Amino acid sequence: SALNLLSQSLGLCWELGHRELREILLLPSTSKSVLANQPMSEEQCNTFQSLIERRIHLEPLQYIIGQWDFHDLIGLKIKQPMLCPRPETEELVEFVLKDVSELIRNRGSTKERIRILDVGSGTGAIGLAIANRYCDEVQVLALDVLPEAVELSNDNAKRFLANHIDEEEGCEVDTIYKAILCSADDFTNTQAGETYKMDFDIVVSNPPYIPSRDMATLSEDVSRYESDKALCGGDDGLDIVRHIVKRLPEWTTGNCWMEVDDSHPSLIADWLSPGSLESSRLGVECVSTHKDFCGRDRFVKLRVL
Amino acid sequence: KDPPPPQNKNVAGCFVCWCWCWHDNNNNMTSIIFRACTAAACRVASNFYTGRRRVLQQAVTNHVISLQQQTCVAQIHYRNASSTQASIDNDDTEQTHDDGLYLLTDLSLATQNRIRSMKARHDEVLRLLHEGGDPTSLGKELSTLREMSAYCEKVAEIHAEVISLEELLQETEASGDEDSKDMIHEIKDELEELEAQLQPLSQKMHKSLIPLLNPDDAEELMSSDAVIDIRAGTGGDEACLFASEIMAGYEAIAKSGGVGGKSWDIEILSCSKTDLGGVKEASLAVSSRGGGGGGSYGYELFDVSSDDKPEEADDTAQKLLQQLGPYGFFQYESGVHRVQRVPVNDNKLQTSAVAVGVLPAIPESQVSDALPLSELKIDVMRASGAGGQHVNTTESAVRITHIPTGIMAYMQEERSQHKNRSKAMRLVAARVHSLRKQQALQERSNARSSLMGGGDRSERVRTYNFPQDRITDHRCKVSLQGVQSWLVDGSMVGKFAPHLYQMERDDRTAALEEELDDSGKDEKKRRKK
Repeated sequence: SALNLLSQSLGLCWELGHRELREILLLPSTSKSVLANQPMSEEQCNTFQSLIERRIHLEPLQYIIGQWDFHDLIGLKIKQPMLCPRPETEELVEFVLKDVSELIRNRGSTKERIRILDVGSGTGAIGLAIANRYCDEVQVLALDVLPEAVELSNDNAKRFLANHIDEEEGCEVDTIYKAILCSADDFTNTQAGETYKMDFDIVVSNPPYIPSRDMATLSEDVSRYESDKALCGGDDGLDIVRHIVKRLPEWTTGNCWMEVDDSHPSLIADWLSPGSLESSRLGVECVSTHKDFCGRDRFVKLRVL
Repeated sequence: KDPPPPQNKNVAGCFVCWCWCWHDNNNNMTSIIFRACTAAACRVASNFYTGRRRVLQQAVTNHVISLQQQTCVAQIHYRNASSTQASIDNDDTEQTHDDGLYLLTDLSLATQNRIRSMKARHDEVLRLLHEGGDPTSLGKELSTLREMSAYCEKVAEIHAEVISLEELLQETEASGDEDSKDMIHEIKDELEELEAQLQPLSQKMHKSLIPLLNPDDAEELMSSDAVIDIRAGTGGDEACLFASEIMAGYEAIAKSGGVGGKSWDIEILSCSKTDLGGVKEASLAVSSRGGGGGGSYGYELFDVSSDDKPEEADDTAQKLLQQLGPYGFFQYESGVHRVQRVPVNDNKLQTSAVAVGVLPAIPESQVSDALPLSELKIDVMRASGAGGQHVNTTESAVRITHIPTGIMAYMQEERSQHKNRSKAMRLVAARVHSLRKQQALQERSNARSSLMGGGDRSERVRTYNFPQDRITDHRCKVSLQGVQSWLVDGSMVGKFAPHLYQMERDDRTAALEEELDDSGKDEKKRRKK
């Protein structure tokens, strides 16, 4: 934390600053590098002091600095109260990217974009990581219930997709990525305002999934600063998941990938097991569950029947 | 009647050769057979006789000549209008060919046959392509054979001219006119000219048989990206400083695409520095972003049409370097680089060492195939508690260990765990691939060259002598004057590489000649039985 905050105070380059500082830290005090021997200005000292204060009060590093790296996105803007992207979510992105690349391989020579729905976009991390990799082939629509999240997602979109815009070709940021204010439940064909075609190729979501009973056990830096709404999924944590599953057949005939609480994959696999009553009633079945890099159950893949 | 086998006697300074002639019923010569104890003797005899054939041809119209020096038998067949059969031949290696390759008398029969089969394969691949075969693999094979095929066609052209001129010569000589003497002179001059064209051509073909880039490795050398490991060895701080200079040199030359081509991407995968600005160890990834070395398949280094001008050595070197991708360009940097100089804060000459290892990089898309997850142990910074949304962590170090080989990479430089993991995977993949390749090379039967796969990494390959201001490569024995100027922009890499490629090729040439010699000896043994 201190390295990153110091790098911030000194106004160093985002990618290399903290590494340079780490090297200096590991070396004896006789380091000859220019950076090591430059005295800090008063302003820089004050800045550093106040940033450290905030961190001492457990404010998440990403909020203090205002950005962080996620997947291949370097310097994703992050603001309170939107959820700071977690490393597990990078794995979720990888699952979707694999599906996307297969769709691209199998679809032949059509120029139509592969449409992806990101439910609960927050900072826009998931949808943008996908759009960043396949900027010519996908179109992402992102939903969130917080206006600040919608604004932040669209901001980040402009930041990362600006190079791929070609006004003449009719390719604007919207063509690749757009976030709108809407809940999962409300996102139906009769959405007020613009009507969005519903036949998405892939649905992805990192919905709020922490069960209420666990909310009290969260560490302070999470509970005090990150939005409850982005974290809590009701009693068993599956409230939003249930909304998504209910709407899924309306949105897509393809797959849905979700990151969930480690208690959920087995529950979901049961609930939507192929051939079960619920699965037939809802028109959705659970194809597979997957563990994250820590070996915890974390991801589910659903399919619309 | 069959000619008797030769006796195994060779008098010093002389050779012994038997000669039989067959005639048909019309007293036309149908063939002459020479048999000697050694291939050399046979060759001499048949060459002598080939020169004489014009005399014999007076009575003969269509003729075909074939020389089988491999079995110490030379047979000149004359097929003329009245003979109904080709003449007697008692072994199954008879070949009668109209392609004119026999004219290249300095190429052994085995070499000629090999060239012949290359041409045949070229034509076959062409036919397969027209019939709708797989364009990628056939296309590649075609480009490796194209040069030789072009040479063969040139030989055939010359051969056709020779034949027609010789016919003309016969007619002119037979006519017995007074004016025909000038004509005969002219024709003979032309024939000499044509023969003169053949020598350089046969040299080129011999070289083409053994291309500058080893065919087994050519694809990798031209298109693969590279991972360069640099590690300071003995010499403490001084070695680390030198390591950083070598690294800077490599970065500089990579930025200019190795040789003035498109600039290559350099990514520092890991780097640990010392307080004096030296480098203890570092790993670089050099990528051409799919551009590779550009150009065609590396075999068209000799222009078939301009057969008058000998290629400048520099020109060839330039062409070679342009063909090479990052791995091909840097591969011979592998090994121990020794530096001799007076350190900054001392007045005594010190010798230190830096170890460099160059590995072919596995493209990102192939990493997961090359390294199945079941073979890997991936350790990450674990979030305490339930993980996921429960915890917000910014620590993201990753350690990947390849269980079967024990090769390991640790990465903590990036803020995103995904990136740390991806970098660590690339490093492990490159190192595992390199290890497997080394093992495979040792098993390869024709691995005679010490330079295969870039050579032995623990071998001392180069010395940078600052007092004498000289860089010497110990493999090719080439020295460059002016250490600093070569080192600072990394241009020594491009200067040494062509020599090392030539050396490796010479090794392959020697191996091929041994092989052809061996097969000649085998044939001789077979006949003796």
